[in-house]
Amino acid sequence: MDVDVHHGDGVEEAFYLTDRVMTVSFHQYGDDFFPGTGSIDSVGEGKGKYYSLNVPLKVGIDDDTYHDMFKTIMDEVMAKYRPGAVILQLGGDSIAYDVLGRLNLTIKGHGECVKKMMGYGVPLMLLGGGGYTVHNVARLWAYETGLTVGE
Amino acid sequence: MLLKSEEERKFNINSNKLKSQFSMNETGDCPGFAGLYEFCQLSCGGSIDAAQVLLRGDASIAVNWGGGLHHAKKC
Repeated sequence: MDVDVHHGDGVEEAFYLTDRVMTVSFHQYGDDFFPGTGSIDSVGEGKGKYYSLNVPLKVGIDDDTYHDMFKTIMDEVMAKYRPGAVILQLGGDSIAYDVLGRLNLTIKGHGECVKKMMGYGVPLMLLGGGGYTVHNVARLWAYETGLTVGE
Repeated sequence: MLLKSEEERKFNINSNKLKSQFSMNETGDCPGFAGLYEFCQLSCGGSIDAAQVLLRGDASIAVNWGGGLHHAKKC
């Protein structure tokens, strides 16, 4: 599960042909934005077909619109795939004012992803990732660390 | 004048090629820095360690803010 502003193409490729791991990536897409992959119709191949999911987003998406999709999609994924553990990549470049990313999430909106994923009660690994306006990234990850301990 | 061995010359050509291929320079996306190899070991090792903690059931949430960097690749 990848909420970094860039498509998680490396992880997707690693598991593109298998159903042992399901990958879901929410990312900014279009206008040659790096890395350029992650269209809605990249869904996996062979045994991995429909076990790679991509949610390409236009610039400027806000918390409400993001979470309308995030919650609907993740509820469905968690119910159907029922993973034994979730790895959540929390790239900090999907919040507003990032130097590279052009999405418009707030720190609370980004943290909402953590809250939502904690709610499924499966073992959860939180990872960092991108984030290029570094003082905002520090605030974001400090806030999200707080969420994990119920603050 | 110190002459470079053939091997050293080849190594330099190859490493310059790699540097431009992966935009590894002072100003690009991926600047090289002292301790880069150790940084990669820590970033990656931290995530492996987090996975082991979860697998052993020692925690229900594991965090590695230094990991997750290479979710994207493009090459």
